[in-house]
Amino acid sequence: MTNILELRNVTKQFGGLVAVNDVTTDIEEGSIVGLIGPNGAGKTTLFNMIANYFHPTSGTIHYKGNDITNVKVDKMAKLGIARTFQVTRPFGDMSIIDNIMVGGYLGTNNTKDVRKKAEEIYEYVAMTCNPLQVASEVTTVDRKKLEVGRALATAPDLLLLDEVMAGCNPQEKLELVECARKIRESGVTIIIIEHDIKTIMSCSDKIIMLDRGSKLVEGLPQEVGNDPRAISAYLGEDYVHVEG
Amino acid sequence: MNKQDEKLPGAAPVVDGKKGFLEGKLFLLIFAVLFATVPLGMSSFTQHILVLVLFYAFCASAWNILCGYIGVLSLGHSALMGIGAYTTTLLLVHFGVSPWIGMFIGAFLTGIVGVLIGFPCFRMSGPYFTLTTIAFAELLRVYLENTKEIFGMSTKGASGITVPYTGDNVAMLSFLGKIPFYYLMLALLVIILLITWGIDRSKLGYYFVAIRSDADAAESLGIKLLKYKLIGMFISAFFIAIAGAFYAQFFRYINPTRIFGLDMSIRIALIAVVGGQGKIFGPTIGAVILIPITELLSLYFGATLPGLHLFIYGVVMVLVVLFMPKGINDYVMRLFSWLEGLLFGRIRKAKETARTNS
Repeated sequence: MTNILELRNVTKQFGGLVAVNDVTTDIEEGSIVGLIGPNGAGKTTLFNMIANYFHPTSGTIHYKGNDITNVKVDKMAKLGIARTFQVTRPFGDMSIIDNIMVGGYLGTNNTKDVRKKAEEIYEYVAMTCNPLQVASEVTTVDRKKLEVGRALATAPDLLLLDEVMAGCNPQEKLELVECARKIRESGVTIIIIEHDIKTIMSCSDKIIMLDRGSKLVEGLPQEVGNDPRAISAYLGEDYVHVEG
Repeated sequence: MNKQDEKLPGAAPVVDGKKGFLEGKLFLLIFAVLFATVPLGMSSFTQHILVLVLFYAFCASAWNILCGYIGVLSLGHSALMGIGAYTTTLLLVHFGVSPWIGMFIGAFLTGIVGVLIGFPCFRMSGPYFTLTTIAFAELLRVYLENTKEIFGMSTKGASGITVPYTGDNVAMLSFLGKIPFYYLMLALLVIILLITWGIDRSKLGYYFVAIRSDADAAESLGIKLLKYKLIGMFISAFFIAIAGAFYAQFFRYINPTRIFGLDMSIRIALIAVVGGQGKIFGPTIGAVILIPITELLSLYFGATLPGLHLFIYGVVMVLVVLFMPKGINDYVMRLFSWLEGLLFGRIRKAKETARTNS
């Protein structure tokens, strides 16, 4: 397996605060990677650096062998990296389909094709609302799915999902996991930030755990689940009992 | 459910069966016929107001392409209009170039100026962008008021230029009556509405609205913000300059205060905001409602209560912002689709009963 993403000694400082400290890791192509850790561990900051919302203070990020450490945000989609936002950001004036179409217009002008593709994606992410409904008025889970669908419309190779399951009930979480699996099957690599440990452990190929900006543990879900450092920093003693 | 339906802008009632050819177009057709015939036989004064309605509808539509769709508030569009007007007029006065040609030279020049202004301005957002556009327009106005000539061509400073009358001559865009101006303006309005319609349903329109809704999210989908803002600026500046050229030929007098002034910018922006920003017919609806009111008010109260039209403007603005934040357009469109539903529903019913009876 080749690595789609390689992070080397990535550090981000905001003034005196070190948000992400010397993180080095590889993401394998075609895998689902879970990024976990307590609040303030630097998960979203790391995400934003991969998506180039801001650039690392030091260290490098390579994507498919090319250095993307300082690429501009608006070039990322074309490179094949798409993201969703922790707080959903639909284009509120537009319908669901139109929202997805905005993503689909990347690299093409043909409205007819783009609309057709958007309708396929609407089916693919299994949204329950009316496709012509205004995006600001749909339920949380549909907004989350819309974020995913809109990102998918840019035809990415690497998809960054920032707390995509937050605020959803267990049933909806299952739907989203199913959706993530389906996307992975189609050959897209996924990195997910998630607080629901059970869910993320069940669907990830690899878990990376951050704590206070540094990478604490990295490995298969069951390895991380049994790691005493991970248990004391974040998972808690109860986790072992629940799993056992 | 009902409440949700109400909130859907411009949602046509879902009816079973095929739509008739006219359905959804009926009112467009009625208004087209109305606009095409209404000035005939009217007094010269009424014709003048009607030309102004079309003129401001056109200006606000040009403004709308940048500001309505992309969602930046420019109050410097008068400067762009002024550049168009001065270019056309100076070419006519000094080189005898027909305004038809001068119009397009001015439009291209203004488009380029717009893009050049856009580079620094679009780095700022919200009120800072607006203030920069005002500053730019005021800069040009003050400069022109205190300059006697540009590139060796006399501009007569603050006293302005009188556009020479070249006879009732189509080739020189010069007419004796108001009617030819009316139909010229109507044609221009139709063109800009068609262009807006084209933008509205193409990649450009989708990207514009995405930038307006959430610039960060738009950027994450690969939209180059500056590029699309500059495209919007070029189109908007191009057309507002054509309006400027028309203004010069229609009034046959231009001066920096009237055409570069903040008054003109605010008036254009207000018409679009009241009518409905980012909607194809919004600015036209705004102009149809606001212009007759202001012209009649300044006619009847201009001597006794000067400035009353500005007061009315303010009141209308506040009312619209409070009660119709999306502009009048939505309500007008909903009324039309309701009326059409009523009409065509009845026709369909009549046909059904005729069929079952036979």
